[in-house]
Amino acid sequence: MLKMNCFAGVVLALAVFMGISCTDTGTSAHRGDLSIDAAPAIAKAVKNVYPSLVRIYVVVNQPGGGRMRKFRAAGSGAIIDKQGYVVTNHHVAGNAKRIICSLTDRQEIEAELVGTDALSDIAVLKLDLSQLKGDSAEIPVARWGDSDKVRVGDEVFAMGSPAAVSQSVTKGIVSNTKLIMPKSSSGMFRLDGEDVGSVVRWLAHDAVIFGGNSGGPLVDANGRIIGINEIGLGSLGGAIPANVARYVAEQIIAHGYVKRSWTGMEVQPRLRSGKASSGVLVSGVIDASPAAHAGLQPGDVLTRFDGKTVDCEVPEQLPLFNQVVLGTPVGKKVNIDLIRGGKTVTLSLTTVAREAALPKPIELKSWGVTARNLSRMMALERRRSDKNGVLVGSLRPGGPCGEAKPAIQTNDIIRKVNGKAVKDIAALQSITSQATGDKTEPVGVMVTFLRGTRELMTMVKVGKEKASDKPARARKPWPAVSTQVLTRDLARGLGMEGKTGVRVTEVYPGRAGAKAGLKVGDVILTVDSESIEASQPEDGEVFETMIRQYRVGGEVVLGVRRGKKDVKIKMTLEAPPVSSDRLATCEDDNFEFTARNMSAMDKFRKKLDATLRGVLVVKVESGGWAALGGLASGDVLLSVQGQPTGDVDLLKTALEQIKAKRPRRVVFFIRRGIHTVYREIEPVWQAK
Amino acid sequence: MIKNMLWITACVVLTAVAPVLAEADPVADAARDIMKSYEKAIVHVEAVVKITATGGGPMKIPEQEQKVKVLGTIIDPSGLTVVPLLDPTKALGAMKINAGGQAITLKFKGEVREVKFRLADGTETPARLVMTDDDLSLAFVAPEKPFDKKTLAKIAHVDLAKAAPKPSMLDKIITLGRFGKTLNHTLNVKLGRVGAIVTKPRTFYVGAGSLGSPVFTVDGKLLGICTRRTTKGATRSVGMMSMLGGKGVSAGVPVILPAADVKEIADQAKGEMKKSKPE
Repeated sequence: MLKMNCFAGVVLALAVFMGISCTDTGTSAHRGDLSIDAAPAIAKAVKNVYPSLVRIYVVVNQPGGGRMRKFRAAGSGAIIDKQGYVVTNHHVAGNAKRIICSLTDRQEIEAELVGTDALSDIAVLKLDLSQLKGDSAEIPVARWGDSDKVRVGDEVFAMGSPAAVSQSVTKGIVSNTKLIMPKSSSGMFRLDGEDVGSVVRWLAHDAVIFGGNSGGPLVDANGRIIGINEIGLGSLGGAIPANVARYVAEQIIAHGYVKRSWTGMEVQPRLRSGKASSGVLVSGVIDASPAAHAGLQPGDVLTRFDGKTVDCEVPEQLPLFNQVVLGTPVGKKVNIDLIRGGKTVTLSLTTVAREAALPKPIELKSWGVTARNLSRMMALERRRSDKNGVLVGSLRPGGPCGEAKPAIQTNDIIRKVNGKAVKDIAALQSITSQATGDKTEPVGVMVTFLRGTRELMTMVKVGKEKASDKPARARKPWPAVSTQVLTRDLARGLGMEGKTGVRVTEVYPGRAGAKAGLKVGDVILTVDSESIEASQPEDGEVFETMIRQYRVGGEVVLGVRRGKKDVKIKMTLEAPPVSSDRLATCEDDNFEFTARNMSAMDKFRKKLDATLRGVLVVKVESGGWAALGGLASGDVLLSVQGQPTGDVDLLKTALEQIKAKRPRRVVFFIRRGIHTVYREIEPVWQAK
Repeated sequence: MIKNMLWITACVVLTAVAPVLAEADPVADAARDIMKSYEKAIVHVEAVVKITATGGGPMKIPEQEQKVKVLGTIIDPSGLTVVPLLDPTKALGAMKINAGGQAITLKFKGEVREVKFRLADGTETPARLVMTDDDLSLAFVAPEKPFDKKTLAKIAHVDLAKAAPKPSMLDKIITLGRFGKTLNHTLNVKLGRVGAIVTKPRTFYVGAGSLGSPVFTVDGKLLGICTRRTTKGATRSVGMMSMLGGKGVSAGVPVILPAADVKEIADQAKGEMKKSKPE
C-alpha cells in the first residue's frame, strides 16, 4: 500500500511500504480446507476470494548511482483467470526483475510480468502453473464485482498480506466512492511520471490495511472483487475501483499494455467565475498535438466528446472525463462540441497513441550511467521538436561520463557520438559496440550533448574500464603489535604526565613483538632513544612509521614503561604479512560480490582456525543478487553449491561451473563469526 | 742554431699550453663523462593525481585533479625508473583546519592516473606506477608496454648494483638533473659535497641534488638517489598550511638514499612487474 498521512492538512506525505522483511508467522490456510467461524456473509466473501489470494515477493530494479539497483519488496494480488493471471499494483511488481508468488496453500511458484500500467497502478502477472505440485493444477479464481454499484456504508473485506505475513482478511465499510487526492497534495500522486489520480477515483474504506496489502483485493459481501487496494490515507484505505482495474487488466492480458489515446488538450474543472453551466474547461493545448491541429484553444469549454456529454465542475469529475478521452480508440476521428465566446463550435480531432510518461530506464554500463529514451511529452517539456537523443538519468561516480571533461550530468541529452546521430538508447548501444568492438581498454568517443539550451561536446572513454593503477607498497618492517596513542589524558591517568608514545593493545603471537617480549599494556616511549611524538588520536601512524624507517632484519631498542618500571626491549624487525590488497581476488559479475584469499592475519583477527579453508568476502554490491541473498562483507565463504571454495581459484572454478548450469538457486555456505549459515541466492541469469 | 730553435719552439709551446694545464679539472672531466653516459637515463615522469578529502563534516570538499611532473632516473634496461612520490597527499597526515570556528580533521587521498614518461629526446610514452615507498618518498614507474627497439635506443640506465662505497664527510659528489619546460628540459649537472651522514634510523647522505636525480662519486660510481626525508605525524606546519592552522605536514629534508637501499626496493618493484607483466 502507498501510505498517505496529512500533516496539519497541508503536507501529504507519500511513503511506499516496500522492502518489508518477509517473516512467515506460521499460520496457514490450505485451499479446500478453509475453516471460517464467522457470520455467513463474511464466510461467503472470504471463501470466494481468499483461496485465490497471492503473496508476491519481488526483486525490483531501480536506477541510482549509474546502476540499476535491485531491492526486495512484497505485496499482494489475486488470481483472476484459470490461466494463472494475477492482478496486483504497478508499484508492487511493475518494475520487477524476479517475481515469486506464494499461494494460500503455501506453494511458492515463479511468475512473469505480463504488463504494467503506471497510470492506473495496475500490473498483471502470470503464474508458472507448471511449477504447481500434485493435484493443485486447478487453481481457484476470484471474480470481479461491479464497482459502480458500490455505495457508501457497504461492508467490505480487505484481503492480502500486510507486512508480507500470510494472507489475511480485515473488515470495514466503504467510506467514500469518489476519493481523490486532497488539494493540499496538489492533486498529484505520481508513479513513474504518471498522475494516477488523473484516471482513478479511489474507493475509500476503513478495513485495516498496511504495507504489503498493496495489490490485494477489496471484496464485497458477495465475495466479488470491487477494488484493488493501493493507498493509505490516514485511517482510510484506498482501492482502485474494480471496473478501472478490470479494464486495464484485460487490456494488458490482450495486448501486453493498455491502448490509450492522446489528444494534447489539458483540462481542468470550470472556473467558478465562468459563465458556462456545464462542460470541461480547456486550460491548455500542447503545440503540434491533435488538439492543436484541430484548433482547440485555452478557454474553450467542451460539452461533448465523441458523442458523449462531458462535464467537470469539481475535481472529482476529472478522472471520468480523462477515462473517456484515454479510452477512445487510437486514431479515431472524433467530433468535439465546445463553447467558445458564447457560441457553440464543433471541431474534429483525430487521436494518436498515448506514450508512457517515462520510458523504462536502462543501465549503460560502459558509459557509467542509467538513461532513458525521450517520450513525446518529455521532448515537448524540454522544448525539443523531436524525441531523438538519450536522456541521462543517474551517474556512477568515477564512471566514464562522470570522469569526462566536462562531465556529463543528470538530465543531459546525448545527441551525437563520434558525429553519428543518436536516435535512442538502441542506437547509442549500437554505436558504442561499434566503437569499442572487442577492445579491452576504454575508447575515447566524442559526445555531443544538450544541457538546457546549450550544445556541449566532451570526450568520454567508454568500454571496459581500466582499473586504476594500484601500486604495490614496498615491504618494510612492522611493529608486529597493535597500539593506541598515549593521549595526554591517558598519560595523566597512567601517571605518565608529559610523556608521549603508544600503548600496546595486542601482541601478535609468534611475531617479532611477541618474540621480543612485548606485552599488552606496555607503553612504548622511545625507538632507539628517539621519542615517539604521538599524543593525539590522529598520531596513530607515528610509531609504525618510525619502525618502517629501518630495514627488515635490523634491530631497534624500544624504551618501554611496564607498570612502574622502565625497561629496554630489543626487537629484531621482520617483514609484515602480505598486504591484503596483494592477495588474489575474485570479482563475480553474476552475483555481484568480490572475495579474496585469506591471510594469516585475517584468520588471526577473526579468531579462525589456521587450517580453515575459505575465501573472505570483501565487497557485496548493494542491490546485487548476492546482497539480496544475504551475503555480507566479512563473511568467509566455505563452499558454493557444495563445491569447496578454499581459495579464489577454487571459487572461480565453482562459479564458472554454476554459470554454465544456470541453476535457479545457488547455495552459499558461509562462516559468520562463530556461526555457519546457508544462503540461497537466486540470480536472474542473463541471456546467453 | 737548430738547438736554439728547438728551445725557442719548446718555450713557445709551453707558454701556450700552460694556462690549460693549470686549469685541468678531473672532477669536471668526471662529471662530463657521467653526463655523457647517463644523459638518456634522466627523464621526466608526468601523471594526473585525483585528490579527495574526507572528514570535512558538513563542509563538502570537491575532488581535485592535479598534474604532477617529477624527475626520474632509469635504473633498469626495461625502463624501470625511480622517481619521488607522485602523489602529493602522501606528504600529508591528518590535517586539522579551522573552519568557521570549528576544528575539522581532514584526510587526503590521492589516486595516480595517466602516468607517462617524457624521455630525454622528448618522446612521450605511457607508463604505470608499479610500487611506492611512502617512508623513503620513492616510487617506481615502468613502461606500460615493453619498450620497442626504437625506444630502447633512446634510453640509458644507471646500475644500482655498481654502488659507490660509503663516502666520507665532504667528499665531492656529482648529480645529474633536467630542467623543466621553461629551460627546454635541458640536462644539468651539479657539483657538491657530502655535508652529513645520517645513520639512524637508516643511512642517508646529505648533499647536492634534485629530487629523483642520481648522485655519483667523482670516480663515476653511483652513490644513491636524491629523495626526501619526512617525519610523518611529527606535527609541523609549513607555508599555506600554517596559515590554515595545518597540522601533520612535514616538508622534509632532501637526502641521498644509498644505492644499495634503493636497489632493495627496486628488486621488490621488479618482482611486482613480473607478477603483473603487461601484455
